[in-house]
Amino acid sequence: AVKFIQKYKRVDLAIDAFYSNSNTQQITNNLNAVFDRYKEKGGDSIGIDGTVALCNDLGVNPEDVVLLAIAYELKSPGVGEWPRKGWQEGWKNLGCDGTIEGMKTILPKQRQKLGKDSAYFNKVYSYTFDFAKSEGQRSLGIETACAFWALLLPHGLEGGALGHVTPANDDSEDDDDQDMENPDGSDSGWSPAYVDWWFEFLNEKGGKGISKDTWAMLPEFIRSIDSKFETHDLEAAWPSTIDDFVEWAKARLASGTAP
Amino acid sequence: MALRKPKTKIKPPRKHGTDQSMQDTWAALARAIQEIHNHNTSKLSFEENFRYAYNLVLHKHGEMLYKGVRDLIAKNLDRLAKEQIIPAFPSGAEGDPTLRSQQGERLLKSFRRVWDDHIDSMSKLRDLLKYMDRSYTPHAQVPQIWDAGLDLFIQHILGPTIAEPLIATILAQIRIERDGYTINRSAVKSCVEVLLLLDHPSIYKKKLEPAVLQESTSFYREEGQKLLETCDAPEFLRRVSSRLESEESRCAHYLTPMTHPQLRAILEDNLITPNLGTVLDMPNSGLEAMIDGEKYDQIATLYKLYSMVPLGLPIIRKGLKTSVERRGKEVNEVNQDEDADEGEEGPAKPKGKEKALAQANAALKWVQDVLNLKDKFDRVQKQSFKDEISVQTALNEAFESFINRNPKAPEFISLFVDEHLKKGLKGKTEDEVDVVLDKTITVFRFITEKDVFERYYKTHLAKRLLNGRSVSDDAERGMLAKLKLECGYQFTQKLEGMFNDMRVSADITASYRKHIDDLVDVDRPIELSVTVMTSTFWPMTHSGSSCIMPIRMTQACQVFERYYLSKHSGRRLTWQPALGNADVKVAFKARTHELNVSTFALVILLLFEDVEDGERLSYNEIKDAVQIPDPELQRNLQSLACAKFKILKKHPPSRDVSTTDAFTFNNDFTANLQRIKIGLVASKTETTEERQDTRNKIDEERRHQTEACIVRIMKDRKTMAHNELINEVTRQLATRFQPNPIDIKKRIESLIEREYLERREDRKSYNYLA
Repeated sequence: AVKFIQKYKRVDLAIDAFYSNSNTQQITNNLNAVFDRYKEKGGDSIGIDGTVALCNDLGVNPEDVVLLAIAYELKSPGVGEWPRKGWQEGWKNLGCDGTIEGMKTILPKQRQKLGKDSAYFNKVYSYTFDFAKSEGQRSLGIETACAFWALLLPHGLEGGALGHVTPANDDSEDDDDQDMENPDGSDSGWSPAYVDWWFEFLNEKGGKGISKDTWAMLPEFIRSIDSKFETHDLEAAWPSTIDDFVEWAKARLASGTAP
Repeated sequence: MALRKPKTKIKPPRKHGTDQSMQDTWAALARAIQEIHNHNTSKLSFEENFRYAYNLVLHKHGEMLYKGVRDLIAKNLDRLAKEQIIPAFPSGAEGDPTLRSQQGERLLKSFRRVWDDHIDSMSKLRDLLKYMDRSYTPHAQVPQIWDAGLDLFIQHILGPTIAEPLIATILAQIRIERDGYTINRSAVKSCVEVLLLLDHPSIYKKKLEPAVLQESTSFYREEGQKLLETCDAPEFLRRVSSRLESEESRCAHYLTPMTHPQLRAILEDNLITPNLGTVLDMPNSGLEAMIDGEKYDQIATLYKLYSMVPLGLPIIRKGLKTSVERRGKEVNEVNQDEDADEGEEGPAKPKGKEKALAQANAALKWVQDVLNLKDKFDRVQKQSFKDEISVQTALNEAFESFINRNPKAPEFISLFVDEHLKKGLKGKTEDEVDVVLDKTITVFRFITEKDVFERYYKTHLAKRLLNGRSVSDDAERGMLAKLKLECGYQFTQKLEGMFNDMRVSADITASYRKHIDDLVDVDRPIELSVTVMTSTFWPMTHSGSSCIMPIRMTQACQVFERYYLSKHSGRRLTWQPALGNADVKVAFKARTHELNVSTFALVILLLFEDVEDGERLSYNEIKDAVQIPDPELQRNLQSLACAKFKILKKHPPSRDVSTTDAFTFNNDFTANLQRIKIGLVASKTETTEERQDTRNKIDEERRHQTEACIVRIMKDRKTMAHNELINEVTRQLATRFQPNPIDIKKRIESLIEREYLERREDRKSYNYLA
């Protein structure tokens, strides 16, 4: 304690620092304890099995979208990989006390944030590409990509993070109250059913996989496109997969298969 | 008088006259003026009358004088009008135009006479009343007597009673002249002159001109309708031209040049502008007919008239474009008819020479037709349009559009050039060929897919070079120079490389022969002439069809290979027997002939060397022995057994070779010639399969070129917006082909994926990653 007083010169600051420091120490200990419980034998990382066990104890489905946000926060390099360093720092940054109980309270908050906050959604979303792809690959297999999209897209659409942004408005526009934003009769935009169209289209088309660029541009596209795909500009910089999808979807709309 | 001072009595100025005497003076002057009006001036004394006027003004009777004179003038004018003009009014009867013209002329002349009369008197009066003009008029702020005289003329002569019939008469005169009769132009002119002179703005401007313009508008509106109904296009144009000329001369001769622009506008608005399209499209006489009939002067007239109005030239351009495109479409269609059966036969096997020839002819005919069309329109452009640039652009666009609508255009043009650079041309001198090639280049210019042309040209050139069929090195190089001029150094680089290979190969063959001669070895290999082709320059694939050669040939190849590699270590030689040919002596029953055959055919023939006369070899036996791929084998067997010279007999005999056939050596073969060339049956235009193959190769090459181009641009700019980049790439690649923006986009994506580029934050532009 004396050291702290010497270091901080002022008593109040020193006390804060002291307690927070000891507090931090406590959290680290807690985190390490939890970590050690699930970690793989012989390594310093939680593996697939540990992840499943952890999820059970946390009371979440291992395929819950919130785990992507947690993986992002904990800097997990890939599916079912949790190194200790990221584990410690990540949970602390989330304000967790390091116990399973504490983590349980964090999860709903993060889930909600992911759905609502489009900036945060973007971060987790683009992180997911690297998280999901196998080492050394440039693109994501269609199956894998669709699986992750199936987690992320509906969640983002539901919460508003992928809500329609009329081109006139800027991206900085408050995205939270998308539901109320229809005063000028603006288009309803991307329909949730289009997610399935997108998957159908990709499977029909086949091909190598989803490039990072296509992955990265999709949320932007979902936010900006109108419900009839009429405003799409083939000349603009959209990846060609998205161009093709628009053609495909327009043809489908024209043929009368309503979303 | 109260004060009498007789001595110093100042005499008042002698009163020249009291009011009474002034009246007398005026009366005398008035009489004199009347005499002037009656042309009896000889009795009058100018001095005396001048003094009258002078005195009147001096004694403050200016006003009386002024008014009195005006009244007199007015009275005189009224008299003149009544006596001279009104009786001259035309009767207004319909009838013979000449008669009506003469009646009108009478009015015009009398009007002018009255004017002359009036001016004559006025000038005398002006002299007489000079003092009044000097001291009274400025003071009283009234016009000088001359001007007053003009005003009076306007009031008394050019009042409605006379002015209206007068103007009507002038209009009638114009109408009569427009209807093609002669009128007295000077009579009209003399009146118009007066009207131009009077008042400001002139009576002409105020009254006559609007009337003339109105009359002209209705006349020409009708005229336009009439011409359209009665005339064909050239006649219409001729009539309109002459109308334009006559109106110009009318303005110059008896109206005023000031009116000409307006009159011309009326002509343009009523005769030309509304009829632009109708006349141009007139069946059997419009633009199409003129072009067909090579009526350059008519087209020139058309051009001259149409370029007067703003809408004219665009319509001409459109007409020309339609014309070219229609003709071009015909050319394309005719060609397709001749070429059509190819598609039905599916994966085309060469079906005998006739068909190949027909196809080749279709290609040549197409190019020749295009050239003829181009010549035709070049003549039109030169002779009728004076090389007007916008017309040229329209023509070029039209040509480009229909030429590129024929997907085979690049191939055909290359074939056409091939035909003209090949040996044994039918009676064309080198200069003539050169002219044809120059023209071909102008057509080549329209092709958007220049890279496709390059590919075909390469193939054709390779065949010419390898088979030694080039008419001359000079001619080939001449053509290359033309292409180079057109498309730049890069375009011809590989073609030149091919030439270079030919030259180097000749040297190598020579030195190889010398090397063989020097060999002490008794077992000389067969004579060999080798062309070493740099693989990147030539269009052939590395792994061309090969075959199993007899040992003697293999030996020869090996000897050469050893020799060549001893000179150029580190190189790799791949033999391409499919491209070679051989001279071979064959002993038939009758006599021995020297045959020139393809290398494959030689290999096949050599198989028969070892079999008994009359013994059959089946297709499959031959195939097993030589390992030549089916299409090549069939082609070669066909040329040996089914063509003009039947070296082999096919069982059963028919035109086409099938895999179940068998062959024997035709020992009974006879021919008049000692040396026989066995040509390969070959389709000159490509088969559907080959074309698809070529297409794929081209697409592949384009992908590379597009990527290279993107990288080149991005390396230079580092950062660029999407659309800008697309435009720049399109521009840079345009000399070779017309890239599709979607394809460029795909290349960009591929480059992003391979991390040559990255998308920037704004998502609409890219960064170059070093």
